[in-house]
Amino acid sequence: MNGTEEERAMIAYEFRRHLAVVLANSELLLEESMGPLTDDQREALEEVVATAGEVTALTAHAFETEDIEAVTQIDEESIEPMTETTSSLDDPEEFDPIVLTLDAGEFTDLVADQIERAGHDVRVVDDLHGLAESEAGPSSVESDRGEDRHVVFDCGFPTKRDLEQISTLTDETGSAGSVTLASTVEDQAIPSPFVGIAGIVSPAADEATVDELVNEQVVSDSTGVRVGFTGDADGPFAATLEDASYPVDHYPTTAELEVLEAGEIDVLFVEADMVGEIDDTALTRLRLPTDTIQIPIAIVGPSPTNDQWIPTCGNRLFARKPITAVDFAAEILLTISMGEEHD
Amino acid sequence: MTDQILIAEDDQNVNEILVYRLETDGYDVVSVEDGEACWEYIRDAEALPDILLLDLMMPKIDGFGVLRRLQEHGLDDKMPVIIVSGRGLEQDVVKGFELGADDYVTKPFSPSEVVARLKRTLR
Repeated sequence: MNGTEEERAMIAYEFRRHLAVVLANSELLLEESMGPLTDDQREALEEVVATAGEVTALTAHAFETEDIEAVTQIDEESIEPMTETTSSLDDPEEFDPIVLTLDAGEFTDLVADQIERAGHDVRVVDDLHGLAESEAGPSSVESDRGEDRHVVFDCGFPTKRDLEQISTLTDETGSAGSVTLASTVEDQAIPSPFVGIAGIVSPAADEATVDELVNEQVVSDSTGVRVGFTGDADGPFAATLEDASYPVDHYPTTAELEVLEAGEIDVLFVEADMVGEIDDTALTRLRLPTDTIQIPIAIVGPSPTNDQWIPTCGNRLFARKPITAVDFAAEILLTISMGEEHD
Repeated sequence: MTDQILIAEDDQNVNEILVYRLETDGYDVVSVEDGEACWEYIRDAEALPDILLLDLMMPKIDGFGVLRRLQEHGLDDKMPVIIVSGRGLEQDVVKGFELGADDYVTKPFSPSEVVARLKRTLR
């Protein structure tokens, strides 16, 4: 993949412009605002929506990443598997039901609608407790208990307790479905969600893992990376950062984060223990595209899986722009299908 | 009183979809297909539209140009603007917000989402 950023932006623009017509007309038809549909017509339209969603996700990955290096990486790791997953997406039920454990609200409903329009069975629950209750029955989903399902969990800025709860979920899910982590935050100033954290890293992560996530997953320009850290300065993760030879600035409280200035650091690690003690606004500010500072945030906490690093769904794509329901739904389905391919 | 929506979108298909959906929802909709017509409508209107849905890549004057004119004439805080664009790069989003847009929706969009964001912005 070559071309200047502007050339790639123009290609993405052309794809998105045409996809807008396909998806928006499909939605109007599926809503039956232009007349009733037969089952066959509905199924055909759902395939159109699912395929257009795949193309949307591919467009974002191929043309809207920040640098050529990232595109090369995506080419190798994301696009090739998509060719294989196309057949899987032709059979949406393979992934169902998809349980969205997001903050209930209009945006969640829009994402759920979008996934449903692609032919999937979607349920929305407010939180992990809601998920447990829905599966305990008696309810219409009682029969799903123990069956495969895919949980998309929006952890926002997760506390240690949140991560422990997700661990419970992944334990339960071990033999039945999978979990995709997302992280969105909203700011009252702008009526669109933004990505919250880039991912979760284990406090016991080794130096190689930290290097990899900094250089490949979080920071697009990794030369001379300067790291911010909020947490136990004498703890194991602080020691790992020190061993990795990153210049580390410590921001122990909200007050220090509030005065953080553009360019001071390239990535911020926040221990999950500290999240509850920091004003969310101080963290949200680091993620807003209207601010001159846009710093990736990685949470250091107990890993809900055995992985030392768990990126959130779409962390590279959504970090610097508002998330739309169409893009978010497309990214969720891409993430789930790729996870299935790798299982 | 019905809210009036001004749509500035040069892609005829997208323009028609937005008009259809918003009229179905009971809005009073006016649509134009380039930035110059958009600016002239706003400049000459007896009453400003309640909200502007603004594409960025348009002939004659682009969406950023429309936003600049709104700023120059002190109209940027008198009428909310939602950008609806296929341009989704960080610099476009930042520039849009800096020029006074209230929200930014990238294409492809769900008409339901546009309506939801429009209602939220109007509130």
